[in-house]
Amino acid sequence: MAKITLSKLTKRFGEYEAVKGIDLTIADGEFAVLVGPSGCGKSTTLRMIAGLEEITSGEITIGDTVVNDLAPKHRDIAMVFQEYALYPHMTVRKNLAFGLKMRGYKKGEQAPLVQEAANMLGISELLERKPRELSGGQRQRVALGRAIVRKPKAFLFDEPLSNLDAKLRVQMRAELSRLHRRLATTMIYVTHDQVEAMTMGTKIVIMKDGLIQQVGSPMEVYRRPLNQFVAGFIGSPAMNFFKAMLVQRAEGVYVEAASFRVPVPERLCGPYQCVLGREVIFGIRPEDIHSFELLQQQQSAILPECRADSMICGEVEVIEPLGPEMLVLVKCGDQTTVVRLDPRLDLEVGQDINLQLDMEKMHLFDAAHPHARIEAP
Amino acid sequence: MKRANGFFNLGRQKVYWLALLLVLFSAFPFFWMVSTAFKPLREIFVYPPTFLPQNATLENFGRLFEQTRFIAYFKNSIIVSSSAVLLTMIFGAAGAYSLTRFRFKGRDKIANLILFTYMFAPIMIVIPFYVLIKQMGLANTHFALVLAYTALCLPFSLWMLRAFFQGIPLALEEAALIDGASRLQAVLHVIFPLALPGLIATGIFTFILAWNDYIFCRILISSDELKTLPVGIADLYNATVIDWGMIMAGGMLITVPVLIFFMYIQRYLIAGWGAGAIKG
Repeated sequence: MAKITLSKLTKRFGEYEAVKGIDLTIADGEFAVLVGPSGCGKSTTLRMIAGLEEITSGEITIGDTVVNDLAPKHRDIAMVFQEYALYPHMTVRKNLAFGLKMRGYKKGEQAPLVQEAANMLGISELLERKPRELSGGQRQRVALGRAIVRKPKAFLFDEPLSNLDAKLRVQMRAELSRLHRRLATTMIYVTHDQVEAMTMGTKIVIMKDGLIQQVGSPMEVYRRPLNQFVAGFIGSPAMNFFKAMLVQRAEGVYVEAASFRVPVPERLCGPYQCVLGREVIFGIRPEDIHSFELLQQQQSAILPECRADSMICGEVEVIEPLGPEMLVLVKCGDQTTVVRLDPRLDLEVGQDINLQLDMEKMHLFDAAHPHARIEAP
Repeated sequence: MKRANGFFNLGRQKVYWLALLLVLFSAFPFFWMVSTAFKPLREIFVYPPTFLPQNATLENFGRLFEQTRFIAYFKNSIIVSSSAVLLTMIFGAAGAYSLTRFRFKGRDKIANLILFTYMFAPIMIVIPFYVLIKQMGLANTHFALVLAYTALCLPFSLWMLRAFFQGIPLALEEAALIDGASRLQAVLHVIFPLALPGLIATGIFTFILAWNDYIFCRILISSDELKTLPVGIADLYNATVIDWGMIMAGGMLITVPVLIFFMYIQRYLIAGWGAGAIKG
């Protein structure tokens, strides 16, 4: 078990800088997920921690040791690869025991450890098989088993679930979380799938273009994304963005976009004072937009004040029923907005719909380059 | 369903007959050699010839062992061929590994150039090679032969092993490194077992080339006791009376042990191919 620290970590491939001097601390026992689009440097970062990729500059510490110049085998970490990387010429038992053998465990010491790991993952009956005789899910388990068998200081996962079908992925997600609770070992998990990041991580590290965009707990990054990229990346479907202006009127402060004008709650007027009259990006999540009609019918408690003037109108373009909810694409002016609605709502493509925005949950981002969040406490 | 016309319409049986004919055609000289090896001298020149020896005898083999240095030639051939195989596999594997696993300037150019050198016929390089070997003071040694065969086989071996190594995912090696193996251990425990069919194939290729070579041994070796089988047997033709029975017996003894050996290895080779699956 160990704390892992990265400081000013940089990786350059020739001219291309894949990781640009990142700082990150992962506490002992934490499940940290590095998430970001492909090419964001997350896998390179993981491989540098593993020792598979040389560090251009900076420092990596595992526990109390600077591991910059240590070979992978001396870092005492385990890794699960995307394509499993099981040794095809060895049985499952030998695959599990390989790490122990390389570390000088005697035959007699290996057997109980292998058995323990196999029991934990429910693969004891597969021990004599070769990898090619296993299904994808079973291979994944063996790869996990190979990692846990020697009780390393930390686990590294490189998109381990991306080769599994959707159902199995959900199942393995839960299993990994359970495994983390049980082993209480530091885990670093790389994925491009924000759902995996949200569901498994105790800490999410969002990366883009070789830089860390935000670090925080899943709900933290969901509720308070630090820039427009994070806001759009975390959450599915993605947040809706509108170019807008913040204007002061007699009745209060308003967000004015091309096709609508909605009032900013009084609580937020103060903090947003600094961007009055400036161009901003207004963001609102699909789940924070409601059907005005439904709210009225239910005399809903969802919105404390159902103000008619925070309503926008549009035309239903596409309806995607998902069972417990439905996603509706609504065309407002020349922009399409995604809305997550109650499936009981009787909607038809082409009809007009009135939408109520939950302005308490609005987000504002700077329209200038870094697209940083405009803070509202 | 309408069947396709032309060649593919021959029918399975006809194809088998055709194949059998081809096999008979190519196997006949071999059969004739074995048959002659067991015939007494009188029977070899009988007309019309007998297909199978009427009075089978081992006297040809007896003369081969008593009157010639056959055993020494055989030993020389084994030593030279196995050394060439060993050297080719070591250098071939190491070279192919570096061509697939290390990034360096001009890597692919080197790989292509290697194949290009394979286009030179041995006869073109044997004389320059002799001059070189002589200058190094290695003429008339087995080591010179081993060097020659290794040099001849390396391009093909490198090319072949490179393809095999390329087919082995890098992640397997990385997994081994993380599991606690050194690079050498990762290669020995993971890469080599997976590249085994390739290693065996290059081994067989080198062995056959070295075992059958005539031209290099003829040029590089001058002492009779250092000659390998092809040259040794060929020199039996120089006698005033050509002893065909003895030559055929020698020919048979060159071929048969190797044939048996490769029949055994082949089974192993096929088993190796089956184990090559990485990801299903």
